[in-house]
Amino acid sequence: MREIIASLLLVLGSSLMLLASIGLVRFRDPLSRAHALTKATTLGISLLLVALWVILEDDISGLKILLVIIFCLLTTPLSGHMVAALYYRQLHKKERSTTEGDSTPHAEQ
Amino acid sequence: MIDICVTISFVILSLATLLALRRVFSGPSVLDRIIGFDAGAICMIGMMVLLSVRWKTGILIEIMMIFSLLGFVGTIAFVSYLNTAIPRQRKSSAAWKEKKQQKKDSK
Repeated sequence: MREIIASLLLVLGSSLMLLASIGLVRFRDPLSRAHALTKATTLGISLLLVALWVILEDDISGLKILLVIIFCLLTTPLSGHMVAALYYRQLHKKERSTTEGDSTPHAEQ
Repeated sequence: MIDICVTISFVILSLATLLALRRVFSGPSVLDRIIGFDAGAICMIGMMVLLSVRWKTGILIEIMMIFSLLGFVGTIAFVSYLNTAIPRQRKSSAAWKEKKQQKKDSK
């Protein structure tokens, strides 16, 4: 029973990681790529670690695996959010510089 | 049963790592390369999980934690470096005051 649950979780988690990578290749701009990668990868790595928890019988290993899961849940969305925020700022900086170039307040003075 | 599933998962994770490496090599901008690097690091953690399932040991868990920390710190370092490369528009700068003045004049 234990092995069946663990193998199901393993295949599910690794297919989620593959889905994230397919989204990374197929989508067209960094915002949607970060969107595809962050959520699927977080769930995938959590499922893989839970499968490892099911297979190992130690309590101490279980606690450490819980720590790794919490760390991944904290850090993966944060890095995706920072990349998306940087891309958004770059986009708006480009728009702002083009509008300033059109009005040209320095040339009039 | 568990051996076959671990092998299948290894193949799937290798495919995922190859796709992430393709994005790292052919990304049009730097941000795509950063995202691809992040995906590759997380796939490596998944492979460590599969290895410790196959060997039935818990000694790789600390290495997983360190690897995840390294991937996160790498992403944050790249992003904050690129973030300082874009100058912020401060409220005391000349361009900001001109824009405010223009808004007042149009009103």
